[in-house]
Amino acid sequence: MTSIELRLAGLAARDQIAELPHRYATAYAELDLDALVALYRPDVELLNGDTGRAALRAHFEQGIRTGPGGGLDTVVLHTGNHVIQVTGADGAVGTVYCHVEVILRDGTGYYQAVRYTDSYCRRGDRWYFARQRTHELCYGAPFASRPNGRPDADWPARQIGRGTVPYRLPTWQEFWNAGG
Amino acid sequence: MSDIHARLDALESREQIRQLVARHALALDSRDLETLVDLYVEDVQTSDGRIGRDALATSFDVSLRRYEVTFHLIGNHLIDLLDADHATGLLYCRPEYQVGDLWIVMPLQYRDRYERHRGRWYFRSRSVHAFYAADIRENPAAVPGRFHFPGAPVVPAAELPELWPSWRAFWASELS
Repeated sequence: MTSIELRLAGLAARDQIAELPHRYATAYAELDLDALVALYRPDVELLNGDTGRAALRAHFEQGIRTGPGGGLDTVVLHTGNHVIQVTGADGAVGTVYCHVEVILRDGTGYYQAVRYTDSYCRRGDRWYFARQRTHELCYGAPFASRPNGRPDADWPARQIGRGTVPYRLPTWQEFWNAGG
Repeated sequence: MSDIHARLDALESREQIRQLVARHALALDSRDLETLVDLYVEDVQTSDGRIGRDALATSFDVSLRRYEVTFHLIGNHLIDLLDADHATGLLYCRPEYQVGDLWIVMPLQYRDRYERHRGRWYFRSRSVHAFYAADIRENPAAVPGRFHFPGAPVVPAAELPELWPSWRAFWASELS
């Protein structure tokens, strides 16, 4: 490829990668699990060691149907702050913020702040999530309540409570240890 | 630079500037001051007139110790390239701040200036104008001055939308 073609490919790659979390948010809200898992490479690695879209689809379906409150009704995944670091012609990693609002089938609901850590890969001319997304909770709180002072959520076991970011970050710990 | 190179360069610049604001929010919320101040030009000026990244790190350090968790969700980023190495930007942010027993939400607008040095884009400056600040359980419209943020650094008051000339002109005139 010429230098111009390489630069165009770099821009096109970043554009495609930037859309992946948005497509994820939409497919999740629409409960279109086929569209959701199609965003992952066919041999996607799950966090529990399984591989493949069928295993991932089963994981999503179980969480949506048998989760708290009789399952998922409405989910708003408002994503932003996508930091993309290209690691090679076929790979990239990223961080994404998400302001989550969830209404359950029993009529209760909550909001959360979430940070995703992603890895992406290129297959042919398309980019995919390479692995199940690592999502870490900042907080979860019932609607119209404050997140302050809640016990650990131990997410995904519980949706409400204190999360793991920013608390576990070395930069966060160094900042507070330094004491000002 | 040929036309095609200039067009590519403009697209690459816009992408780098978009990454700049996302990295800023991430570093801020992670309390990664080293990464944060490295996003600014070397001779950045602080709000109290000091120069340089070390001075900027000190002023961030002071203001960031007033709250615990923060979460800066950004969007609506507009970028205007002024020339090959200078640009301005406008974006929205819906930050949340844990302030003691309160959980403050302060929708705001950033006004940015960016500069490119040795092939990399940096912030020259950022200014912040808030729409309101209120605890998550409060009605923002019922808070005096639309601003409830005990000990707020950087932002003194809710300035938007009144700060916008077009907004003021709209309400200063009658239905035409």
